[in-house]
Amino acid sequence: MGVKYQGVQWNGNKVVYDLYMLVALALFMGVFMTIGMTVHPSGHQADAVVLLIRALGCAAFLMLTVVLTIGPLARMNPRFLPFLYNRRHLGVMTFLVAAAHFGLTVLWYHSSGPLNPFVSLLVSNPLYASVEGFPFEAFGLAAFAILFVMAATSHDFWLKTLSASVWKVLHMLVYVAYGLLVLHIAYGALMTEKSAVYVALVIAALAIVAGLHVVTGVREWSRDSGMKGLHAPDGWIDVCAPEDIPDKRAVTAPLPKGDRVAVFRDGAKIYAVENACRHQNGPLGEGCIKDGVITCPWHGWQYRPQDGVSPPPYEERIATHDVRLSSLGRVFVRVKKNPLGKEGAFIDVGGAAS
Amino acid sequence: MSLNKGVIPAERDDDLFIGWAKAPAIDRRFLFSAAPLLLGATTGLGWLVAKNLSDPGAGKWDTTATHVIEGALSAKPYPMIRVADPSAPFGMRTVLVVAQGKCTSGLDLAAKEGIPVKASGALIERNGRQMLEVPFSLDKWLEPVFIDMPGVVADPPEERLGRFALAGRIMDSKCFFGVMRPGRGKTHKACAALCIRGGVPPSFWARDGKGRESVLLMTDAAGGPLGEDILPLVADPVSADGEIVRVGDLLQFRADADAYRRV
Amino acid sequence: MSIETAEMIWMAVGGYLGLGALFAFYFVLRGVDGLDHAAKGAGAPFRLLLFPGAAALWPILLLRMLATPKGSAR
Ligand code: FES
Repeated sequence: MGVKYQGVQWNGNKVVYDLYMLVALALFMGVFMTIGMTVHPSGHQADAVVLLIRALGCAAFLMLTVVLTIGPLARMNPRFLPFLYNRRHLGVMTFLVAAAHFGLTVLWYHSSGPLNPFVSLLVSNPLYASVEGFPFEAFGLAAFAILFVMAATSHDFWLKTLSASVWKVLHMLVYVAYGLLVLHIAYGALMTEKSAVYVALVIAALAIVAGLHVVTGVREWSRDSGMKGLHAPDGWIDVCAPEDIPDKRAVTAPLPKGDRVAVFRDGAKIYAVENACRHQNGPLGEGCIKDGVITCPWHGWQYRPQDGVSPPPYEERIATHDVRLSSLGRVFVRVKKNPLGKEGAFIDVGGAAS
Repeated sequence: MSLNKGVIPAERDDDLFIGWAKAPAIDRRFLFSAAPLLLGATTGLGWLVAKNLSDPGAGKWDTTATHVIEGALSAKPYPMIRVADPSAPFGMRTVLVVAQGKCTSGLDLAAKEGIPVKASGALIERNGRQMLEVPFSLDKWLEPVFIDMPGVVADPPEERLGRFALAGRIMDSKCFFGVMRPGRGKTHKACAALCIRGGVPPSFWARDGKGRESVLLMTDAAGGPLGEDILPLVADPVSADGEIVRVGDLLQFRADADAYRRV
Repeated sequence: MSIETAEMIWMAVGGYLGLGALFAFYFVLRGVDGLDHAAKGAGAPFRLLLFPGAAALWPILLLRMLATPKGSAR
């Protein structure tokens, strides 16, 4: 980016997003604490600190579940894109809630004893060799470490400094963290509390997250395999007819080596660029052309369709692909990317191919 | 060639949400109806989860008032004060003594064995079983008493009730009696083990087939305090063969750590 | 897990993060400007946000800094 970094690039949508997030969190915590304190007869009241620990833990799990559903939902229906836009703040907030849960647990259950609280966290529940007695604390601690690294590297600086691929791998660890959290709950809360509601809720959360990912995965796979066999031997592929591309939108096609190409139409002109956004590999082909530039559906980064370069003051670049109109009136894309910054050949259906 | 065939007109480029721009009308409509739904669902989930929490039991920990008791001090096998109480069964009420926090072994009471004392602290109580939580330094809570205390027996005789096989759970008396509610189960296991490591007396929470429960003070087979071997078994369902001995109004369950089996 | 093992684990974690914190102070105040020209003149909130990550991932950043000759920041 050719502009200075800021802590948070605030805008109205982000403020509204964060407000809703905080209100939802406050509602959850408030209802949980109120009901938790009053559900049992007087004299059987739960301890407020234990309740708070539980409320925070539940909130963090719920938030991470929501974080993980947003991606696939946004791919299925663009109405969910607003949830994706500021997902980063939801993720960081999840970490902060988890940190409060962790801190309070160490303070309440492990401190002022004969051991260092952190040592106690690892040794007081000692059945590491047992399958059913394994200490749930270890699962929680590992998940917390992952959430910490993710939250700490959530600024775009890290994406650039660590390189997109390393950053992506790092942030894929969220699935590991989620699995660890499910184990943390199964080995802790679910072995303590008797109500079947908890088992049902955890299974439902897991099923929703896994189900959405499977559905989007299958959809993508079948869309791609429908496009197989389009490869011309000369290094060009047949993507579609010009009128298959809605104006200001794109059609995407898989390339032989696994990447994808996005073929955009802006009025009478047709351009092709690589599909992966420089920012977080967002699917550019699901975005649109706004004010003459390709706009990523995830966080709104932009690239000129002609040369793939972001309009000033930004300096990001994606590669273009050459396109041509075949004699049968089909749009063909050259498999090989152009070097970064090079203008690609485009089609002008108003006239002839350039 | 015509490009308008079957293609949605150009206003389409406005109906895609872009974070830094004003949200399109279709998204605003969607979010407007989704927001109350999501907030409602969040609230409902909080309600559902809290509503189904199990009953933490009848424990009390009163830190707002200072509770004062007078009786005979004993540190065998764990710190306790025996208070004369003609209305109680066996004419006495034994109050266990623990320090603040989880390090009761730091209370140095050996030299005070058997003497009449006045003690003040916070009362912890569950189903008639009492415990006094006191600060570490003795002069802050303990005063020797030099007048006679009628009815107080410093060292009541032991009554051996026989050998029994009990099933139940090992609890740390302090949290179980009321400091943490709930102070049981796997999520509390580490805390309980830490308390017992720190010298809080372990209790055996036994339940028979008819659901009747009894709480017994745990000692080793010789009646001394249990060691750290017991820690891995804390809070889990276990069973053990041991001897039940009544000392004053308190029942003790005497079994070495290796007598306990996980069930 | 024995108490000794647990102490060793936390000592290792603490040592790593302690060194990381020292590095992070230098990194967010100075080092980052040499690594990424978009950080030049960036404000305190940005630098504060960088701190935890710099303390956690300091070996990577250190290698990046060593591999970036002076004046060739992106
Ligand atoms: S992935 Fe974030 S803007 Fe494209």
